Amino acid sequence: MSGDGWSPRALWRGFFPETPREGADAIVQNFLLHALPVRITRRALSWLATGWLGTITLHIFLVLCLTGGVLLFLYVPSIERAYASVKDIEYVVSFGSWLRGTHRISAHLMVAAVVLHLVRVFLTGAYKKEGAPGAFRPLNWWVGVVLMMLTFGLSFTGYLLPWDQLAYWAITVGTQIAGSVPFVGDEVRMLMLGGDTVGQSALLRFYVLHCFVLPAFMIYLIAYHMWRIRKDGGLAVTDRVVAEARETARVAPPSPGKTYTLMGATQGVNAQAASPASLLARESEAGGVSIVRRTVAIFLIVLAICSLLGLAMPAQLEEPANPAVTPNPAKAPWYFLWLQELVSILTFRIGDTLIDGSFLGGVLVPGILIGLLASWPLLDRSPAEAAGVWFHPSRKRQNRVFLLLLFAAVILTIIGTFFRGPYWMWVWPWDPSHGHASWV
Amino acid sequence: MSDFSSRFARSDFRLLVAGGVLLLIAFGIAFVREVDPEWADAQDEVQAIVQERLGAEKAAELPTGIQQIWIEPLDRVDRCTTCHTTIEWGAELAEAPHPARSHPQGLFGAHPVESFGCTLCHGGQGWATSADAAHGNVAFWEEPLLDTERAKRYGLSRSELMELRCAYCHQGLEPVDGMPLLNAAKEKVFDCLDCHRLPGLENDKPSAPDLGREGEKHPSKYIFPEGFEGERSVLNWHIEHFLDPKKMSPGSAMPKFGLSRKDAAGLALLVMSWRRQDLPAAWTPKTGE
Ligand code: HEC
Ligand code: HEC
Ligand code: HEC
Ligand code: HEC
Ligand code: HEM
Repeated sequence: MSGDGWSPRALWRGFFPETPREGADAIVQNFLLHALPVRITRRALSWLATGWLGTITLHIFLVLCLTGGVLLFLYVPSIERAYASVKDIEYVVSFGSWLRGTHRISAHLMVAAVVLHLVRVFLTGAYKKEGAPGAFRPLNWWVGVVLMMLTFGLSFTGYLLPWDQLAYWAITVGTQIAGSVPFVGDEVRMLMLGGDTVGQSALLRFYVLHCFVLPAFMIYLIAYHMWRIRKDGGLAVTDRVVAEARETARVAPPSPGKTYTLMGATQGVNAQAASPASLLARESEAGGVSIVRRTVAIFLIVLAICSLLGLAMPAQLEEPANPAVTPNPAKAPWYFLWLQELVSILTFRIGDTLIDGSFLGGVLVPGILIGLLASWPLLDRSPAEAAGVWFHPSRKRQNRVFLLLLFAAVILTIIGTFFRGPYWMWVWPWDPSHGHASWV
Repeated sequence: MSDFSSRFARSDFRLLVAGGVLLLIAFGIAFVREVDPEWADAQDEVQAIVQERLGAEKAAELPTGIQQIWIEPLDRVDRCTTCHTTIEWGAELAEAPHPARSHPQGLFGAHPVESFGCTLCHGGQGWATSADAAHGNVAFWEEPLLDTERAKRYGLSRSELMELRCAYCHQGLEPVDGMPLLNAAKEKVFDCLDCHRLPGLENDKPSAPDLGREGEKHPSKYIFPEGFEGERSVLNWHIEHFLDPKKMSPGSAMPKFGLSRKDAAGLALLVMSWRRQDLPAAWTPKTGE
């Protein structure tokens, strides 16, 4: 750092580094880059280690912020104007249909990406508590669990805003399930909706949550999530690289007869080259250049794919919300359909008593699953070597159970999406469905 | 410099380029769609027709860009005039092809375009700026344009089918000029009072469903018999029901009235118009009562 205090040049300083050293300096000196690691191991940089799914999720979130930020100027959160303002976005606003399509498809993709990221972290054991001194990855796993719930929350609150039939009934079904919590269910529902039914106060609440509160939490927590990775000594996979470097240094000790030299410039195994630190240096490169390049590339691709999908699959807008006309069936948003499916499976009749599955399937099961997810880093007893490795043999059983549960949820979601018709009865997607009649 | 020639550098650079190219493609498609929308082609078409028939001077008067009739008190907007730019132009375009054709003039006297727009009479989706969406021939739009083609499905002319929407406003059993089909149907409903309560006509001991708001009953509540062939619409349900009540409503006590299909359609449209129409007084015709 030069001694002349802060100057705006710090913003772009080091954008065009000419040596690795300058690249590393840029990370330290540049405000925009300071969250990145100075060095990154090649293993962490590879696609296989992480799929870069977290970064992809982050960039989909950025696309959502960009498109949503524009939509904020166009959408009116009142039950009289909401639907009409969305129609106007579709039909008269320049690029409006594209913006809305991109925002909608990105929201779906973000839910998918965040779940895939969680699956990756689980299967690589990257949440494990064992790590370098000062590292504690479970914390980031917990932050992640909250980030995932925030993602669901953002998507769910956004669902209501167009104020069409889909929105109205998905939120009605969703909040009914929340209302089945014993003792406080009605209060929970009341808190969400600001009333007994989905109306103006619900719309306003969802709007404020969707556009301000939840994104603010999200941005803050994502920053914290990134910072924790630094504090945990990089991704879990770097722990493996470090451990392997130590191992190599141990099995290939400095050859006798060689003198220790501070220069260490000779080729081959000498004390310098075999020390863990220098092995690590060989295994890694300047983060400033490679991560920035990689990140920008991923951002461009994510933005491009979301934009293209937004053009190819414009967002639907159903009929205006009509409390008097219940669609049959009324479905929750797709990523909650496995729960709705569970609710329907768990709702049955014994004699004259109807067992209502709402609480069991809609509250208890997801509650237990979230609880298990949250406590898993503390329950997992596999050895330290299992962190940062795909399908480590010592984690075989838990991986199997995890994948089985995931598979079940996916299957239930598919059933709920494509195979459920009126009265939640089984239908084949290729059967002609009459829907309901038209007026004329 | 070995850091910079890492094996990732080159493949990442390729990704960077691919991302940029994809993004340009996306922006390109969006841009082309934006500068060449469907309605601009329709405006060009009208322009060409006017130019050919009425000369360049007239053609220069045509509006460009999205047009709309905004009826603030009703919170309605009709953008039909974006394509139907010459709708108010008079007889010289009365035979021109759509969308250059001008409107039959008589009706605009009692229903000025500025305050009635188009969809109140025609149906369709006023917000929309593409033909299919504006004419309501898309998913999730419940009030399609009552056009010639749709009318044909019921053996009606377009203006006969449109009487449905005239009757949304022109309620009551008094005859109204320009609504011959419904005027005829109105004469038949006194028979129905034996069993039903009708709007404005009390019935002390109704033995059958109250028809006072039959027109509000949502399509999802009409049940079609198993294997029903034909138009699945409320209109058709009523037509078939009037021709043979037991066919649509097994075991119905309602008699067959021996109506012709056209009379049944008139009665069906009349029954469907029995709904509340919450419009300000200026849009509500004064009835004779
Ligand atoms: C994008 C341009 C466009 C818009 C917007 C548009 N129309 Fe049309 N309209 C056409 C064209 C082209 C035709 C002739 C071909 C056809 O029937 O589709 C037509 C035909 C018609 C017809 C005659 C159909 C028949 O055969 O009976 C009516 C009535 C009509 N339009 C009414 C409307 C109304 C009402 C609206 C507004 C809700 C509207 N149009 C909006 C382009 C448009
Ligand atoms: C008061 C009701 C009313 C209003 C308002 C109205 N129309 Fe019409 N329109 C009619 C009737 C009735 C017909 C004649 C139907 C027939 O004879 O087949 C008609 C015919 C048409 C036709 C077909 C003309 C032809 O000769 O084929 C078009 C196109 C049309 N209207 C467009 C519009 C547009 C666009 C608007 C809004 C600017 C509008 N109408 C407003 C009632 C109305
Ligand atoms: C949005 C409501 C509305 C619709 C739809 C509508 N009208 Fe009217 N109509 C009116 C109003 C309001 C008047 C003014 C008459 C008055 O002051 O009583 C009127 C006047 C008339 C008149 C003048 C005679 C009279 O009673 O004063 C005729 C004829 C008429 N309408 C026929 C039609 C026909 C035919 C249609 C369908 C194509 C139609 N109207 C559609 C509201 C409507
Ligand atoms: C003898 C008594 C009787 C007479 C007369 C009668 N109806 Fe009905 N109507 C019924 C009964 C009973 C039903 C209920 C069963 C059914 O849907 O057919 C019914 C049903 C209806 C329905 C369907 C209501 C619904 O939404 O389910 C309509 C519409 C209707 N009648 C119209 C008429 C009209 C218009 C007339 C006069 C032309 C008429 N009815 C004369 C007995 C009668
Ligand atoms: C908005 C949602 C999220 C964003 C933007 C995000 C972002 C990221 C990023 C960029 C990384 C770096 C590694 C990678 O790209 O895979 C990462 C790592 C990590 N994430 Fe997330 N994440 C989110 C949600 C989650 C969730 C739901 C979990 C799990 C419950 C989670 C747990 C972790 C953990 C433990 C790491 C460290 C992994 C390791 O050390 O290998 N994150 N996250």
